[in-house]
Amino acid sequence: MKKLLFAALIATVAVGGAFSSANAVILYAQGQSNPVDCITGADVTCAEQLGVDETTQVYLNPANEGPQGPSQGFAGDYTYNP
Amino acid sequence: MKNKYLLIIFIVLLSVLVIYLMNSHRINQSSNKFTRKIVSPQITFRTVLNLPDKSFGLAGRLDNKIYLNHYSDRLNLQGINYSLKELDTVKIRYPSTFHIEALNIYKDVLFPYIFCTNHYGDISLFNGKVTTSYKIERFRFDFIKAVSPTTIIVRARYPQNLQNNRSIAKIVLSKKVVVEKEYPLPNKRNGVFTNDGMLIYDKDSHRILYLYFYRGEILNLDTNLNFKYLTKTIDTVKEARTKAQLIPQKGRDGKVIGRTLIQTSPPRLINTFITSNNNKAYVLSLLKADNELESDFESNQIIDTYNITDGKYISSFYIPKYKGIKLRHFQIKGNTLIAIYGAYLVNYRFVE
Repeated sequence: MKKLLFAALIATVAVGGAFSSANAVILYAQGQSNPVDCITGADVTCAEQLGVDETTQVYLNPANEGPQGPSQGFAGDYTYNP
Repeated sequence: MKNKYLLIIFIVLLSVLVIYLMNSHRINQSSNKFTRKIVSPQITFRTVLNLPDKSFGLAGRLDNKIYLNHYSDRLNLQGINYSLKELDTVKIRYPSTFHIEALNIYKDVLFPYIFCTNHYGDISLFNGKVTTSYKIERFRFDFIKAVSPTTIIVRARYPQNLQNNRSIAKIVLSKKVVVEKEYPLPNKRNGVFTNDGMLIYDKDSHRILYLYFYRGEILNLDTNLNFKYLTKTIDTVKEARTKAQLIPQKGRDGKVIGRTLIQTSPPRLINTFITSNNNKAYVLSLLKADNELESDFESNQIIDTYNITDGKYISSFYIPKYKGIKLRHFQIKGNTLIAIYGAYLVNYRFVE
């Protein structure tokens, strides 16, 4: 019974996750591995980095995971263009 | 045992229903409490070009040719004629002082001039042969619209209440670069988000239009950034519904090295794109009106038109999706409508 309830819980979470991750893009500030979830379908700003140099950049991959890019903006604006 | 299975199925269905209802603002648009005047202009397919990928956007206005910006070729533009036969790289010559390593290079075309800027404050003006360079210090802006070879309008930002807010600024390019006027956008909480939008310049009326993404408004300014009027778009959304949270960013030693302001709930976009032609503003709306059929709204995209002189709503029409893909960018010139859907560039004959 517990296993079945657990399976039901997993299924529910999966459905919820499918809804909430629609159009989600994960972006990273330069040299950082802290992700920012961009949920957008247009050229909009989804997050803003404060207290950094305004030309610090934002990438699709974290610093420790290989090549970064393509260009996504600068750390002031986490902007994703699909 | 059978009852247990039924109970589990019931719990799952109930949970799915709850999640569905929580997301219903993105799915169910059955009642947005406004109606549209739907008209049916002739939109006839002419030709299509399959672009190499879906990272293209329209740059500048439609002119003797179509200019496209490609997000991974920051340094150049792509040009193509209206028959959409072949993409041609428009190579831009940058001055040596221009930081071409900047991730974003914002461009605008005021034929024959191509304007380029970046976040370092570099501004270059290339006329196909000669490049003129300018530099502005400590003034942060992104989108650029050229009004004349010596005047640009930009979307800027300034600090406000420990955060940032946005403004529209007029920059004059002469022997030195001068911010002639700055028009601050409304003082609202999380202004960098709530005032996010799209800037265009309507050459015919000499007006600057700024479409807000999260509330149904279009700001109308003249080229000296004098306020002309604020259009309330056809929907009923007067306030942006954005929520944001400050997240501390920690370095390896655990110390806070910065803060990120993040939207904490999926933003509710109202209008996502604006263009102009023949004294009309064309706005791509994401909201369904109460007098529209769900099937029409799902298989098309709705464009609302407004008079640029007085901001009044005129009518709305559908643009069909292309191969099921949503319209992202479009522009109109005369009887031609050029649209980008994913990796497709489509030319339509358009007669209102």
